[in-house]
Amino acid sequence: MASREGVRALLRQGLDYESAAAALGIGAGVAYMVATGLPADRSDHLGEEREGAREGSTQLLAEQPPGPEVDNRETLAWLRRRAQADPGMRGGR
Amino acid sequence: MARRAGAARWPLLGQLAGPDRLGRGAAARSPVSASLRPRVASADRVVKSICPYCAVGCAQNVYVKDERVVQIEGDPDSPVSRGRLCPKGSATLQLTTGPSRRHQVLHRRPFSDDWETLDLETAMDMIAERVIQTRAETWEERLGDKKLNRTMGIASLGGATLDNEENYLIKKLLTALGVVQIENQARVCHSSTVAALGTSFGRGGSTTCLQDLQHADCIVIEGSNFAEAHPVGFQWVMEAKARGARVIHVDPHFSRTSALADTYVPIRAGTDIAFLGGIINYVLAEERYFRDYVLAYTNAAVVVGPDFRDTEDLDGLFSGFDPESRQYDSSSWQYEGLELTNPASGNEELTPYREGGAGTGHGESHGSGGPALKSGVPERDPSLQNPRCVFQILRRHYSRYTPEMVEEVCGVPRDQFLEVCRALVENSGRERTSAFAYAVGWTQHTVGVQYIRTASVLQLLLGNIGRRGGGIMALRGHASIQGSSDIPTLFNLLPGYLPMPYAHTHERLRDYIAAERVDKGFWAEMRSYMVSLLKAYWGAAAGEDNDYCFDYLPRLTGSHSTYETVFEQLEGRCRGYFLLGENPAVGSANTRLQRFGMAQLDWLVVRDFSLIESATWWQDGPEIASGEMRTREIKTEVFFLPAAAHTEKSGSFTNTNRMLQWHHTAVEPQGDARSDLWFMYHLGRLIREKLAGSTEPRDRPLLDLTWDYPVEGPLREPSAEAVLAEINGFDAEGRPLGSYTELRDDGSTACGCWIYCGVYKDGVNQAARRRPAQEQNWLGPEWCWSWPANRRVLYNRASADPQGRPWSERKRLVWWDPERLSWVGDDVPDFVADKPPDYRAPEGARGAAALEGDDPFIMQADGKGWLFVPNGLVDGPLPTHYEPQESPFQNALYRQQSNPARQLRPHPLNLYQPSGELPGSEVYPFVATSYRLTEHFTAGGMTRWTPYLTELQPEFFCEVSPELARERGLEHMGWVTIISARSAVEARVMVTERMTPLRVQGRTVQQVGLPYHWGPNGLSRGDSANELAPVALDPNVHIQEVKALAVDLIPGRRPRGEALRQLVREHRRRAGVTEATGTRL
Repeated sequence: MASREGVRALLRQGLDYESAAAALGIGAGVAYMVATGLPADRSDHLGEEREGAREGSTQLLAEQPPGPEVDNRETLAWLRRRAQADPGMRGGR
Repeated sequence: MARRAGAARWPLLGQLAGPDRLGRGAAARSPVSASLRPRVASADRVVKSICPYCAVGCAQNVYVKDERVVQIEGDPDSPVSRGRLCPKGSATLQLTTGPSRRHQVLHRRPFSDDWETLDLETAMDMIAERVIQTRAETWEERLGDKKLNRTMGIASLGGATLDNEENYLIKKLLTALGVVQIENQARVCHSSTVAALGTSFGRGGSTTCLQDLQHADCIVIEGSNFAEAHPVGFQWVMEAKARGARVIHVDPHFSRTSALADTYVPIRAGTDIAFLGGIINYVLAEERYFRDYVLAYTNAAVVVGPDFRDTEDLDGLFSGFDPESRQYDSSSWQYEGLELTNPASGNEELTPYREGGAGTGHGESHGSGGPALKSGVPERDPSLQNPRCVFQILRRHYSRYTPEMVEEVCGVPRDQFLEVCRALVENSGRERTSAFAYAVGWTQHTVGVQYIRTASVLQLLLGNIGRRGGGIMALRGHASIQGSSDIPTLFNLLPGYLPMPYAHTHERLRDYIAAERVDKGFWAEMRSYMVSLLKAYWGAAAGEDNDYCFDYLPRLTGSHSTYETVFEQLEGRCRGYFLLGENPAVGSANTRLQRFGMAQLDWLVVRDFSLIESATWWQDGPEIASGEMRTREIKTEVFFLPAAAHTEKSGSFTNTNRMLQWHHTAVEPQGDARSDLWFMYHLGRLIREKLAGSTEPRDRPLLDLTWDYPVEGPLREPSAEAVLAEINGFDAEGRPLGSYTELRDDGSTACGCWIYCGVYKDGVNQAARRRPAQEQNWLGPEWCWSWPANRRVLYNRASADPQGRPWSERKRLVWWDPERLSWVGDDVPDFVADKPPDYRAPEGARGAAALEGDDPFIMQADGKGWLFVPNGLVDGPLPTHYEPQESPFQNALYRQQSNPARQLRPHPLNLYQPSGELPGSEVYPFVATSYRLTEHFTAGGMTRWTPYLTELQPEFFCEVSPELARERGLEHMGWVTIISARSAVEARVMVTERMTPLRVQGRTVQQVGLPYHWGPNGLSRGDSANELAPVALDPNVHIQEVKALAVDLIPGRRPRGEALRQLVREHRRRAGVTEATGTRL
C-alpha cells in the first residue's frame, strides 16, 4: 500500500503525480490524496499549504479530461457564409 | 483454512494481525469498501456545466457513462462557487435523470377531459398552424395613421431558466412574427433592479461580483435571505465575516442569514424606504458622506429647476402629478439650464390603459445606458449650498426620516437603527467600504424600483460604488434571468436594452434614435448598436434604403407586460400562449386570475420537464375543485412538449453578476424532449416553409429573417455556438467582433446584442473558458466572460480618486498608471483605457470623447452617479416612503398613502382590500410576506417533482409568532387558513420566534411568513401563496407587490368546493370590498 512518505519520496525524485502514481500502481488522484491529505478534486477544500500540494487545479489527477473537444471551424465558416450572403455589409447595397 | 481466511477478513482481527495495527490504512477497509469505486471514477467523460437553478451560477462537472449522466458534482475550479453546490444543485442528477420527467408530447383537445399522446412532428406542425392562423386573424397593421405591424393574439412567457441563445431565438422569431407580448420571469422578479440601477448608475446589472463581497468591511443584506436563497454565493459573505466584516441582516423574517449575521434587524414588510431613507438622513445630518467622492462622481452639485416641488412641499407628491391620469409630467424635475429630450420614460399617449392609471415606463431600457439629458452644461454649485442643488434637495427630502420616524414606520427600535447607521458610516470612506445585497424582498413592491434607488443613493453618498468591497449586489434568482433581461424576452426591450419602438413616437429609425440616444458616453452610439441588431435579424434585407428594416419591428402602444397579457386573455384578445419554463399558475401574483385567463385561450403550449400546474389547470386546478370551471366546458387546446435539461444542450447562462458561463451538452435528450433552441428554430423553419411565397406584407419580416443556423446531430439541433456568434457580432467579412466599440451604424457590422459583443472574440467562445480560479487573480478574469467587456466590478474608475490614484491602498482596484499612460489594476477598467484622469472634453465633443477623465459612470448622460433622477422613472426623482397597496397602517410620513402612480387593474377577479385607516382594513389585520426556501425553486417546477428535495421540504407552511398563534388559536404543526380578498389558502402552522411582533404606530403588528413554492401538482403538494396576492404593480416596470400583503388568519383547514369561495366572499363583505376599493389615489 502506498504511504505518504513513499509518494513524497518519489516526488522528491522529480516525478510528477501521474508518474509517481503509475510507479505505485494507484491512481494519480489517490497518490495526491495520500501525499497531501487533500482530495485532488478539491471536494470541500479551498486550498491550504501542504507539502506536495499543487497551486493550480488538481482535478485532472482524479478525473478524465473534460470533453467534448470544441471545434469552432464550422461556426466560423458559417459566419463567413452569412457575411458573404449580405453584400450590403460591404457597401454593395 | 477457509475459516481462518474468513476470520482474517473481520476488520478488527485483520487489523491486529496485519502490518497496519493502528488501523490508519488498509486495515480500516473491509473487502466491500475496498471494492467500492466512486461513480465518477468509471465515467467515460466529464462535461463542464453550470447549475440550472439560481443565478449564483455554480459550476458543475457532469459525469457520463454509457451515454447516461451518472453523477453531477461541483466544479472546484470555479472562482464563484469553488466546487460547492447547495441542496438543489446537488440534486440536479435527480432533476435531470429522475422518473418524474416527461419524455412524450401530450395533447389536450378543446373540451376534452384528458390528455392524448401525440408524435412530436405532428405537434410541431399543429402548433405552427395555430400560430399562423391566430396571427392572421388578429393582425393589427395600423392604429389610425400609425403603424403597428403586430399581433396581440399571441403571447409568450418564460426564458429566465433558458440559455441566452434560446432567449435570442425566442425574441427574434416572435418579433418577426409581430408578437409583442413576450415576457419572462425577469418581469416578476427583478425588473425593478434594471430600472433602479440603470437610472442611478447607467447599467441595470449588479454593480459588483460575488467574490468581491469578501473585501467588504460591512455587508447589509436586506430584502434577501441570502444564505438560503443563494447559499453558495453566501460563502463570500462568510469570507468577509472571517476577515472581520460586520454583517447585518434586515428582514421581516429571521432566517439562516440572520443567524449568521452579527446583527439582525426585524422590520415591517413594505417599509424599507423609510429605513434606508433614515440612514440617508443620518449620513447627511451627521456629515458622514464621502464628500470628495460625492462632489466628483455624483450629481449632488447640480442645480434643479425652480419649478421642482418635493414631497415635503406637496405632502407625498412631487410636482407634475396629474391626479386625473395618475401620471407625472417630469418637466419640473429637470436640471437648471437643460431641457428634457425624452419625456419621462414611456408615458405614451396611445396607452390603451391610461384611464386605469397605468404608466408605460420603460425604465428597463436603461439597463445599459442611462436616461437622456439635453446637451449642454448644467448649472452646478460645488459648495453644495444652493438650496436647489440636488444635495440640498436630498437633505430636505429625508429630513423627517428620523430615528423616531423609522421606529414609528418600520417598527425598528431607535437604538438598533442607529447601530446600523453607525456600522455603515464607520465602514465607508477612503479606507473602508460597505456593500448591500438584496433580492426580491425589495423588488416586488408597488414602489419596488425606488427601494433599490434608495440603496443606490445611500451607496453613492457613502462612496461605495465602483470600489473594492463596495457596491450593490442584486441577487437574481434564475440561472439566466440576467441573460433573459440582457437578451430580453421582455415586451419593451430589444437585445442590449435597446427599447422596443412605440407606435407614435418611433415612426422612423431616425425618430427612434433621436428620442432615445444621448450625446455623451457610450449610449451615444446606440444607432450603431441598433443598426447592427437589425442586420443580425434581417441580414441582406436590411439596408439604408429601407431604414435597415426598422419597420419590421412591431410597435408598442402601452404596457404589454405579462399582467396586461392576462387581461388580454380574459377579454379574448390574446388567444395563443407559449409557456417556456415558467409556471404562472403558481409563480405569478393572483394565480387564480392566471388560470381564468388561460381558460379563455384557443391554444396553449407548455414546455417543461413535468406536468406543472400551468399545464393541467383545466383538469385538476383549484377552479375545477371549486366548481367554477368544468373541464368539458373549457375550450383551450393544450400541447405539452417535454423540455431538454441543461445537461442535454449547449448554451450559456448569465449569472447574477453578469457573467456568461457556457454549459456543454453531456448527453442527447431522450424521447420527445428537446431544447427550446430546437423548438424555436424548427417552429420558425416550419412557419417559414408554410408561408414561403406569401405576398402578404406582414409575412416579409418573417421570410426575410436570417434563419439559417447550422444544425447538428441526429436531432438536428441548431448550433448554439453559431447563435452565440451572431449575438457577438461579425464584420463584413464574417470575422467575429471583439468589442462593441467596433460596431458601426452603416450596416457593415451585425450584432445580436451589443453588450455581449466580445463573448466570441477571436472566434473563441469566451464564455466556455475554464481557467481554474487557483491560477488567476481573485476576480477570475479568464473564467468565462462578463458583460460589458469582461469587467467584473462596474464603474471601477470610481475606485480611484479624480486624479486617478486609489482612494486608499487598502481598497485599490483600478488606477491610472502615469508611466504606462493607462488604467491598470485587478479588473478590466470600466473606462476608456488610455484616457487620463485630467482629460477634459473639447467643446462639442460627443460620445465617449465627451466623457471627462473623472466621469466614472460611462453609460450615464453626464458621466455621474445619479442621486436625483430627473428623467427615466415615472414615480419620482427621489425614493419616498409609501405604504404598500394593502397595509394595516396609514402612512406616517405623508397624507399620500400609497405610490400615487402605482398601476392597478381592478377586476372582479382582482379586487383590492381597504388599506390604512379605511373602514374594513381591520378585516385583514396581519402583514404577510412571501419568500423562498433553499430546497425549492420559484414556482416549484424544478423541485417539487424531485424526491430528495421534497423530502427535505415536504409541505407548504406558514410561520407565525407564538403571540399570534395564541391570539388566533393556532397550533404548531396544525393547520391555518390564510385569507385575502382574492382567495384563501391553507398551510401547516410553524409557531416560531423567527417572526417578531413589532410595535408600529403605537400598536403591535404581527407578520406572517409564507414560502411560495407550492401548487397542487408534483410529489410535494400544497396551496400556492400567490393565490392571495393582487395584481398591483410598480408603474415603472409592472412588477407585482407580493412581499407585503395584508391577510387574515383562522385556525384549521380551508373549506373545499364552493364553500371556499363563500369564505372569501364573506371576508370581502365584512371589509366592504368593491371593485373601487383600494383604487383611491
